[in-house]
Amino acid sequence: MKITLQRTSPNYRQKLSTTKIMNYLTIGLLVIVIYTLISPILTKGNQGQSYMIKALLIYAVSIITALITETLWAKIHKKNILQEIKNSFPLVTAIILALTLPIGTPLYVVSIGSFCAIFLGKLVYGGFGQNIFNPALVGRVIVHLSFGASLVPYLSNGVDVVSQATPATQLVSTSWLGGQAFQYSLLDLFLGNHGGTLGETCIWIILVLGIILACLKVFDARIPVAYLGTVLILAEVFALMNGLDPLTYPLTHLCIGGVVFGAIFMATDPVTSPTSPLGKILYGICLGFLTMIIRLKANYPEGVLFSILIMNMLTPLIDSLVLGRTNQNIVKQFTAIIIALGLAIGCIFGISLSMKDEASSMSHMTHDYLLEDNG
Amino acid sequence: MKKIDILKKGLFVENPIFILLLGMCSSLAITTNLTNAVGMGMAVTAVLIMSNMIISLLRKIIPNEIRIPVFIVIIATLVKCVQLLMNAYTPALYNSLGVFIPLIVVNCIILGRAEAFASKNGIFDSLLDAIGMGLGYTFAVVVISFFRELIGTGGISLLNPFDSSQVIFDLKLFEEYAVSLFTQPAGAFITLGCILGFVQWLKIRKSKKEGVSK
Amino acid sequence: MAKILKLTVFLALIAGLSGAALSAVYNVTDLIIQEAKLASEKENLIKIYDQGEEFSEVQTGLDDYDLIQGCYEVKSQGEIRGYVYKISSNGYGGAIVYLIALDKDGTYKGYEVIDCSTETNGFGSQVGDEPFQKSIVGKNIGDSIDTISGATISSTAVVKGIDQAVTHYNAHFK
Repeated sequence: MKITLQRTSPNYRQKLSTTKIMNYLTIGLLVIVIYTLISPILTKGNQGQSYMIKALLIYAVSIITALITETLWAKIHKKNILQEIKNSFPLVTAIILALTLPIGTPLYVVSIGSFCAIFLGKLVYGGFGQNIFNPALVGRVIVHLSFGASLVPYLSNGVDVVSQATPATQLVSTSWLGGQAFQYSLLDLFLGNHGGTLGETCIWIILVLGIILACLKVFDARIPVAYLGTVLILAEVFALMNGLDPLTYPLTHLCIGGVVFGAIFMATDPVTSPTSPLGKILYGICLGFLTMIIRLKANYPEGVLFSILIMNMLTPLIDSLVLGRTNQNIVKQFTAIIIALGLAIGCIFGISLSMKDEASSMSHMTHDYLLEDNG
Repeated sequence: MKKIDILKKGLFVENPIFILLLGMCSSLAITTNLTNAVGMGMAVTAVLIMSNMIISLLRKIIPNEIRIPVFIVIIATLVKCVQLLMNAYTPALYNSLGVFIPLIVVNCIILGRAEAFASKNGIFDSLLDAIGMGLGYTFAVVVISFFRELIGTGGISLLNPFDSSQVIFDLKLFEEYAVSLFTQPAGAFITLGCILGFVQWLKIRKSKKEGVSK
Repeated sequence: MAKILKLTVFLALIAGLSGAALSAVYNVTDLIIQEAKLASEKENLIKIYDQGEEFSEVQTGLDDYDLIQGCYEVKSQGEIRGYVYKISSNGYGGAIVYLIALDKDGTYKGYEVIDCSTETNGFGSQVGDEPFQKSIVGKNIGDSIDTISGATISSTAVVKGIDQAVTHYNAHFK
């Protein structure tokens, strides 16, 4: 008689369950939410009240639409509604989506974005854990492409219409070269005294929250470190090539356009990012590379949004490339990282060279025009 | 099968776009508004009827080895004639459909029905099949363009394809809430995907009902 | 061998018959198509230059200007009033086709977009909207035209085409 023993390996239990991770994430997001509600009062005094009310409305509409969508979906599929909502975590998606929208967004746009985020970003793929793209970003990109003109960083019926461009658009208009037209100091950007989307302005709070959440092992710190590190390195290369201040320019790049918020809350979504450590680092490097390319070459401040979505698409590819045990072949892993970084730096080098040529040829052209006019 | 069944199957059970998934390229591209969809539907139906009838007429004398090139020559000639006629008599529709009129040649519905049906059946049957498939195609693109135009521009309008100044109806419902993504290719895919999902759900429900009754 | 010959002959026959049918249809419809084309060109020109009575095509020196598709001399009551250029410039997604009218008094008399369907809705398509049109019409020829923020590529293409028209105008008609 043959006796076969079933070998079930000892199960390694992670300390944090999915629910706990998402709960920590929700608490972290709520800290940012509260800050965005309080800071208008602190910086603008009484006029800040309308800002606070609008922000509150945006959060409320986003969350309520998300909950309604989930409820309808559960009802259609005849499942227990409360159970579904508990397991599907629509709150995190709704809050992240609201934090990526500027304060002047009309409320119906927020609601459409929230519906598309939950329905097209998560539910059609099979619910939580089955989605390919970050759901909040799906909603954000649909809103961006359809209602791009209404996403303004100021309240149009407010008492003081601050129609000054956000730092990102200001920097874009100078072809990323900064200089006189860029009126924000680094400290300003760090503390967040400027317009922009709801969640991206207060850099220091996001960084502190990121460090706390990384220590609690809510997400793997590799992705934000790789992403932000790559952005810093590539901005450094661009600064050195174009004669800009090598100390403050990379940090300026970091503080605008929502890179820090994207790196900590959106890129680290465990469902849509690779699982292996090497995969995560490569993912972060590619994210940084794509963000810089979209910013510099396409002259578009929204680099973060599209680069995260593109890399989400490539996550299964990265996972299948980095198969097997990843605590061996350390040399191979490091070579992969160095090659990726090298390619990224090379491309940015080329881009800054071409931008330098363009800048000098543009000045040539205006020179010729002047001569023609006189002659 | 009965004659009326041949006609009916092109509409729902074997709808070329929703069930057979043929002719996707044109259905995604021209469904930006209802007028285009109706015009394209009419053009495809016309080509389909003529090509089915001609190929069915010649089916006994076309040698089997070169049947595909012959079909394609016939279909291409028909499409080019339709294109010239559209350019002359319906210029507005011609301009808005643009490059997708010559692309009717590679619309798999036409070659597919020629190969699968017209080359094996009589003229009258092929005619019925062509009418059914053409109507099914028109129905499908009308549905897709209805949703795309409604959500994408906040209104629905239909102009007479032959005389673009004659407006058949023009409703403007909610222009400022329109999600303009739906007039672009990404929105086309999203709309088509949702409709296909709905059609699959209908199929599953129908087969469950039949399974229960058995 | 005979089989292949038979097949080839059959295919050639079908192709020949198709060609005959096609040329018959072409002969019937060609006249109508040409007439319609002329009528729509005239309609566009009248739209942009409402005082013009005679539009005659000008061919001089257009070969060096790759963006200019056509140039029309506008006459009213026997006098030359100005020139209308039809320009096709590559924007964000494809070619933007538009008319720019240069009046003899040194200003832009009109600007009309014929086709900007290749540009992104809401962003690049602003080159066809009224604010941009208002920023061009009435300006002096040779003045710089502001590009639209958020639609850099599309509006730069339009400005490039206008620059070519101005250069041609300065070289030949001034």
